[in-house]
Amino acid sequence: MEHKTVILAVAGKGGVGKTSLSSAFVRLLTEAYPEKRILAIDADPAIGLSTALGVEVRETLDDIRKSIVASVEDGAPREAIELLSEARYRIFDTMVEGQAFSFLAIGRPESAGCYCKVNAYLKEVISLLSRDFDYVVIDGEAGIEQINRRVMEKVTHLVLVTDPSRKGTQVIDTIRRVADELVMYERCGTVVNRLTEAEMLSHIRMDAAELLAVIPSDGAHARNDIDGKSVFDLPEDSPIMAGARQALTKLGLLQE
Amino acid sequence: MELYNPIIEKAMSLGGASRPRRYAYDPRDAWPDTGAFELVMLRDAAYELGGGSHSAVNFTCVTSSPRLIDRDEILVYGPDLGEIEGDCDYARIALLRVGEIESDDETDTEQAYRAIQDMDFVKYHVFPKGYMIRTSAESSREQVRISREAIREGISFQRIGADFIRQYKKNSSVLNVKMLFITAPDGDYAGARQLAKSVKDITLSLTKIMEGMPTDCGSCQLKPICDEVEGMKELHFGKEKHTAQ
Repeated sequence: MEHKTVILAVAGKGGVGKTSLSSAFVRLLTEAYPEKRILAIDADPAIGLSTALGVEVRETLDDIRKSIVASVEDGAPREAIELLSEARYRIFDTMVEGQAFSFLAIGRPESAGCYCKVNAYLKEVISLLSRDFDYVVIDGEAGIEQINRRVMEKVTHLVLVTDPSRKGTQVIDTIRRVADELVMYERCGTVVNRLTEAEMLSHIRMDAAELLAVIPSDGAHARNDIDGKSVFDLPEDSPIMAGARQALTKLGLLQE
Repeated sequence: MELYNPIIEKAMSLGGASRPRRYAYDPRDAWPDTGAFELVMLRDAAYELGGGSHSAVNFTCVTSSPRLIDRDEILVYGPDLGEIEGDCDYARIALLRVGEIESDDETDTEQAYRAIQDMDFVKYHVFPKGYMIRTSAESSREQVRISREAIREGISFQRIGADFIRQYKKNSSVLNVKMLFITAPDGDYAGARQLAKSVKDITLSLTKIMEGMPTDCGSCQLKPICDEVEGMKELHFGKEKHTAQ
């Protein structure tokens, strides 16, 4: 029987709480399925997911990509299968493996501006590793770039996150339109985060996708961030955990 | 095919002072193979052969000499998989005997040499259950994570070796295979690394010769290998002669 991996990606405008939600998803999945193989990928060059999950990053995918490119440029002939094996070898050295989940970070290329190469490499890595894990949670880069470049092509569950701002909802509308063409997702939904007043919800125009959860602004969570604590330190009933639980349940990834 | 013979002879003395345990090959002994990359998470692993800063060497040599390889056999130098208690130094060496592959027909010879290269790639198609092999061509390292479940089920080098030999023998050119597994604390892992490098150099030279290269030895980067490896020069200039005709 073919192994079916759930690849859950979180996308949206910068600063709307993608990383917080991704880390809450990882925590909930590890608690619900402790025997499953769960991989968290920080696809945001800012590398915030590691802090949110309490993981120390020593090396990134971009480091691997650069060293493999350097070895090929050195002139040693390499067959495709050797390069594939080399990538796997390095990825497992780079991956942080914990008891509950494993972690990979995309990293930040040294040259300013363009992330094309590392994004292309990330796409291959997602494809390579997706067969080995039961759940892959990807904290995406802000904006549309990774969707546009088909990095998220194999994503099965796409969660669009917005804050109440018009700009936030416009970004997820755009992401949804592009994802309809370029992502093979099975389910897509929206999470509205950082809502300061409940009555604001009726004023938010959301055409993007089914509403999965509404998460009120949470001072305790902000304090947790300031203190450098991980998502595992948050109370189970905190707004972000409750919202994430509701979203995963609606997506069919957690039992009621 | 005698290019690797001196390496094969040296390889037989890498395993340390103790005598190896020897097992005749029987395909029925082969450990179950999953047919696809086998992920063993750290949390499920008993230990890693070649893990951390331990040696993790692997190489493959080919010969046509029945004096060096006359049967299918698995040799284990040091503790077996069920006896190892933590990460340790490790080497896996595959010695293959093939039929006489030199030919007067240049195309046949080239195909045969390319087949030899392919034999080394068999290692990328062996996926024993609960035995996660990670191979780096760049560093000639092969690390293996063994799952606790596989240990409970009685995994051993004899059975892993049988899986490898079964895969090698799918190639009809392969007549016999000798698989060496070394985990002995007094194994010569530095020597194994040196031999792995020599194998890599010879194979690289073969590739370059087959692709065509200049005959001016004075400007050739591979001259030290040709000087050291008996038969390499003859092979190179034989190829040049054919190309010129």
